Amino acid sequence: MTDPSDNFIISLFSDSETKTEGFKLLLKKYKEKVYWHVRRLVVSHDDANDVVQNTFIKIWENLDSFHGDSKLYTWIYRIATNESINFINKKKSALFISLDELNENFLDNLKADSNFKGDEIERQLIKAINLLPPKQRLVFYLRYFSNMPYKDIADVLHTSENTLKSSYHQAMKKIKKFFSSTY
Amino acid sequence: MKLNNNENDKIKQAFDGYEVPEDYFDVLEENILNKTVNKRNFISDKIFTSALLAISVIILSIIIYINKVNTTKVSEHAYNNYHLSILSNDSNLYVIDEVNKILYLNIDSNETAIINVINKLNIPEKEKNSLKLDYRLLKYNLIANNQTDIIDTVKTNNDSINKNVESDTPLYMPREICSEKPILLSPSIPNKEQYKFKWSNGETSNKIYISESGTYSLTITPINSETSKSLYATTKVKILPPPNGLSSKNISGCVGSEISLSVDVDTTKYQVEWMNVNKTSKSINVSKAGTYIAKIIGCETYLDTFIVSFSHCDVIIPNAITPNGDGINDIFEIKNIENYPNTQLYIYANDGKLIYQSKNYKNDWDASTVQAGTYIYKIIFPDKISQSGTLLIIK
Repeated sequence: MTDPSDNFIISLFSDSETKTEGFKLLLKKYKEKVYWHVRRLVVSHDDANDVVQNTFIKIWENLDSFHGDSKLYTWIYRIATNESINFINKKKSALFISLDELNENFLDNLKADSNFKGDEIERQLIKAINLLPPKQRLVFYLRYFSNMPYKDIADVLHTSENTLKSSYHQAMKKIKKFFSSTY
Repeated sequence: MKLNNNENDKIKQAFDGYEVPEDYFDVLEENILNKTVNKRNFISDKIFTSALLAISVIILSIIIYINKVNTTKVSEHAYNNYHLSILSNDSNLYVIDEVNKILYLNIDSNETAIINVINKLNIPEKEKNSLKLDYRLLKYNLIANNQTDIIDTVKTNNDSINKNVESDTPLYMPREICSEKPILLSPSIPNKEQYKFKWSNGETSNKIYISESGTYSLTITPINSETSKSLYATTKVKILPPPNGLSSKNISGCVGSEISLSVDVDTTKYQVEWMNVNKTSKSINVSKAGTYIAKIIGCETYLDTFIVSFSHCDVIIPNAITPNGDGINDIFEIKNIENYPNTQLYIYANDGKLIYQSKNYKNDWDASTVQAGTYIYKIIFPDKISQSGTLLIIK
C-alpha cells in the first residue's frame, strides 16, 4: 500500500471540510514511525504510549499553525522530540535523582518492562547508547534509525548541520568503543 | 566513521528487543482519534445543538413591537462582539446594530444594494453570508405573504382588495430547511394566540413536529375578526440523517485493470462529488494508485476515503518451498517473474534480519543456507510496485 504523499495531506488541511480526513491519513502514515522514535528516547512502552498520544494531540491542535515553512515530517518529529524531552525532564525532576541514577533507572525500566525481550548484552548496548549526551543520542537515533538527512535533522533540532555532523561522529566513536570493549 | 555489518546487526537486534502489545497500533490510532478528531466532533455537536437552540429561540421569540416606529423585530444576530437585529414593518426591513444605528434596507432595493450594505458591516465574512441569506429569506417571505394576502382576499371579499394596505401582520417561516434530525417548525407571528392555525397535514397547533421530508404549508386566520384576511406560508423540509458506513478503505487491484470505487449511499438523496477527479457519479473507475476521496453532501458534508494500490496479478508467488532435491518446489520460483527484469527480492528472517537479496531475481534461490522456518519476502518490481508476504521453508 502506498502512503499518501505529505503534500496531499497538507492540501487537505487547508479546507476545514477535509482537515479531519487529512489528520487521519497523517496518523495512519506516521503513528508507527513516531512511536518508535519516542520509544527509543523514553525506553518503556507505557511512557512511549503517553508521549505519542500527547504528540498527536499537539499536532492536531496546532495544525492551523503549520504553514509549510518546514517539511511536514520534520515538524512532526520536532513535536515528538520535544514532547519526549519534556517527559524525560519531568521524570527527572519528579524523581530528584542524579543523572547516573537516572540511567540506572533506565536499565531498571528495561528489566521491568514486559515489552522488552532481549538478553543482558543487548540491554547493555541500549544502556550505552542511552548514556550518550542527549544531543548525540538524538542525532544518532534520527540518522541511524529514521534515515534522516542532516539537513532535516537540523530542522528538527534547530541546530546547524556542522554541529550535528560532529555530534554524530562523537556518538559513533563511543558506540564503536563499547563494541570493542564488550564483544 | 561507520559501523561494520556485525555491529549494525547487534544494534538492530538489541532494539528489536523493544516489543509492543498485539494490535497496539490500531488501539493507539483509535485512542488518538477519540482525543482529537472525534472529541472535536463532540464539541461541534454541542455547538450545533446550541445553534439549533438559538435558532429556535429566535423563531419562537415573540415578536416585539417597537414603540411608535411600528416596526417588528424579526430576527436577532449575535456575532462575537457584534449584536444585530433585523426589524420590519409591512414593506421595509431595517438592520440595526448594537448602538441602534439603523442601516436602512428597502424591500424594493435590488440585490446589489442590499449586499453593499451588508458588506459594509464590520462582521466576519461567514456571518455576512448567513445574514444575506437570512435577509433574502425574510424578504421573500414578506413578498410572498403580501401576494397571498391579495389572493386570499379576492376569494373572500372583493371589496377588500383596495384595503389590503392595512395588512400589517408579518408571518415568517423559512422557505427551506435541511436537518439531520427531526425538527420543530414554529412560525413567528405577533400575537400568536389571536390566530387559528391550519397545517397542510391537518394539524391545528401553532407549531408542528416534522420527522419526514415534504412540503408543509400553513394558513392562519384571525379568530375574532371575520373581515381580516388569512395568511399563507409554505416551507420545504428535508430531513436527511448522516450517511452510514463511511470510512477509510484499502482497495487493491491488478496493474492494467480498472477498479471501480463506489460510495454506498442513496444518490437520490445525497449528492456525491469526487475530489480531484471532478465527477459526481455514484462510482468512478480508477487505474492509478493513490487516495481518492468522495464528498457526500446531505445537510452537511461527509467524506468517504479509498486508498487504492495495484499489484501484478500475473505474478504468482509460492507461500512454501521444500528444498530437498526431489525436483518439486525446491526453489523459490516466482511464476512470470521473467516478464519483469530487474525485479528486487529481499528475504528476511523472523527477527527482521536480511538473509538474502537480489537486485535482479531470476528464480535461483534455493534456501540452502538457511534453516527451516517462516520467512518474510519483499519483492520490488521495476515500476516500484512492491509485494510482500510470508514464506514457509520446510526441510
